[in-house]
Amino acid sequence: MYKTKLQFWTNLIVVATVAYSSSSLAMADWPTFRGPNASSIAAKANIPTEFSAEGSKNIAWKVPMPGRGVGGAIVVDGQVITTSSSGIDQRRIFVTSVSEKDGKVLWQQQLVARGRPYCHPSSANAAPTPVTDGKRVFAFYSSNDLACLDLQGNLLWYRALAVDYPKAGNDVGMSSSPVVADGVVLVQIECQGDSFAAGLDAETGETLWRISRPTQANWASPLAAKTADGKSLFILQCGKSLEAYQPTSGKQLWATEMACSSIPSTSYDGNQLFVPSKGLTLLELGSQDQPPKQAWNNNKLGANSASPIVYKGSVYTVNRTVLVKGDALTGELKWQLRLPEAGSIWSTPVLAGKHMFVFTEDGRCFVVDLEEEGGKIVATNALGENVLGSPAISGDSMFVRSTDTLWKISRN
Amino acid sequence: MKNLLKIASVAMLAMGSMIASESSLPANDASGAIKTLQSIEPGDKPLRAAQQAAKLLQAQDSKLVIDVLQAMDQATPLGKNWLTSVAVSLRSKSPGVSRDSLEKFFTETKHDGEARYLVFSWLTEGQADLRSKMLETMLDDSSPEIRYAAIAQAFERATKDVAKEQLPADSLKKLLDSARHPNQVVEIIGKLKEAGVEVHQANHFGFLANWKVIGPFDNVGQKAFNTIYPVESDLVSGKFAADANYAGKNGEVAWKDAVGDDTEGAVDLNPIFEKEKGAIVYARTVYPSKKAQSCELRLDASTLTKFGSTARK
Repeated sequence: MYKTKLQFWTNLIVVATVAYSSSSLAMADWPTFRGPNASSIAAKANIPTEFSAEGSKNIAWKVPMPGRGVGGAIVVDGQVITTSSSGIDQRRIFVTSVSEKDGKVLWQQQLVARGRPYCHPSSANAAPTPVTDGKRVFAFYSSNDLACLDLQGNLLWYRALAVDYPKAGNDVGMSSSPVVADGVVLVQIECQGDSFAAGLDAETGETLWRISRPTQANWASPLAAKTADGKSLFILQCGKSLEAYQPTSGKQLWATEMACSSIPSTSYDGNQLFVPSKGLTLLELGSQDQPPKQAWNNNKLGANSASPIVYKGSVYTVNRTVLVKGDALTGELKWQLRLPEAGSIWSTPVLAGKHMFVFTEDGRCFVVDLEEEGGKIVATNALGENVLGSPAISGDSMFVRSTDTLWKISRN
Repeated sequence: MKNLLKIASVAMLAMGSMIASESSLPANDASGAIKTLQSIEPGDKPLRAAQQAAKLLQAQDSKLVIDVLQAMDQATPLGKNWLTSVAVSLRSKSPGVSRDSLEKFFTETKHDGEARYLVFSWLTEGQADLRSKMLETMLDDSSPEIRYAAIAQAFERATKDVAKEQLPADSLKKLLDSARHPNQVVEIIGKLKEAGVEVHQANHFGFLANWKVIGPFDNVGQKAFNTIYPVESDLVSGKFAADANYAGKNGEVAWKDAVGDDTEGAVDLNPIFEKEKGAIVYARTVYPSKKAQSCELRLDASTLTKFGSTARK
């Protein structure tokens, strides 16, 4: 009887421990670049279509950031988290957490970049968007400094990857955002020097695996995808190929020769990969280690900077100043909508309800009703600051990182 | 029932002990943890120890902030980042760090520049006027970041919306004396030029632009790199003669003048040696220095594989 009861209590302790561990993973509304599943979609969000910096119309709050940033924000555990860089050569790098609710700065951590921080004047050292696994935040910079923080802003580990690999760098700036899956953080560092991708242990920062990559500049971000049977994949694109890797081992699962773009990143929907290659190419995934098969390609669905978005059987891309809609199943071009005098568009749009929010570099936002035939611009809003990072959405709020400010857009 | 509760408590204590014993640092060894972080080197190996040390320090209270900042004086570059992050975390905790202790740390210019800049940012947080006032006196601060910010402020004040005819040349010259960052130096020299004052950028940085060069000597296949050619023996033994001739790769060679006349004082060897490959060339310059000091040699080449140097007192 004694042994049985001891077993009972031991099991209870184990169960309680596991339950506690699970509940300590915070809800991540927008955990990564392009949000859940890198989809850029918050289907049920009700974001105001009109907002303006002037008069603070539907601007719940705006918070000045400690430096420049061209990546997006993420949202986790009621916190909106973004990176910044400032000071000499933008070497001072920051991670700032702001309360989703009221814009109060909850914590701010800082380091000094040890890699090359140089970049084009339109960019910043704080270019990649951070990522969270629900209990940690992984902040990456163009200088190839990578910091892992807990949700209270304490540093858990730090890697100066450009110190480990001194030829890793690109003085135009690097911007591939990290991704995380199965306890592994993937960084894609592709340049003309030390060019590689590495899977790091999310808990310790130790390198689990590292693979050489083509020595060519590449600003696209990797994708953490799941096959239809729920297996994780890391997908990497470059000018020569699209490749899939098993996250924990770094084992290459497949590779397909194709000339992928170096700026817009691959998107996925179920077992379909929408790859910015020769316009846009749809690949259909099989099992985890089977190369995907091409379903279609259409060079009229190409994008120059923003990544494609797939929604309700349609695929949307931004080609310079034109929003393009295609049929996701067939690749047929459906319509093209000119965004008048949009100038440069770097940010991948977000989709909320039936509206797409497209930010231009000069901080204007075209709001497009996608259910209208041919798409219809229903509003053009202005923040008055440059926007290069992609927005994040949580609840009925949109969080926009302009170069110097973090904004919350929601109904007043 | 009491026995069962005792057993459960013992089991939980045992589990707790097992977890605690995974750390190699004693629970209260803050100074040991600081030393660990000070010496962090690149790569994977130091990570676990760094993590444990940071975790131990993050659990302390804010009284440790000054010790952590002081430790940055003797820390590696990576160590400084770990210590910075710990200082930032601790500062936010109770009972807080006294302003007096921060000011004392800041005024001791012997401390690490990054640490002092961090403290400067804390002291002036939310106080733009105070920040401006402090920067006015810091044009020659030992911290590159503080100096950079001070010069940026002074430069803006001196030049913003000021017509060329009214640019304060004397003030700009003083700023130039303090400036160290190339971007700021170039900006100030540009404004001085607008004000009618010419400054040679290479001279400002102390680049040695006047050289004598000789070659080419054979080094096809890198086979002769360690060869001590007669010209090198003569140089090392102090027998330099500007009119000396030596047997080179393609015939007799003699010393030639090479002057770096661009803004960076760089000497381009390509036109002098007609883009010769598989060769060794020698370059000589003399700088009379009152004391022994180090100097920096910079080479820029897409095909160069090695170079060597000798210095004579």
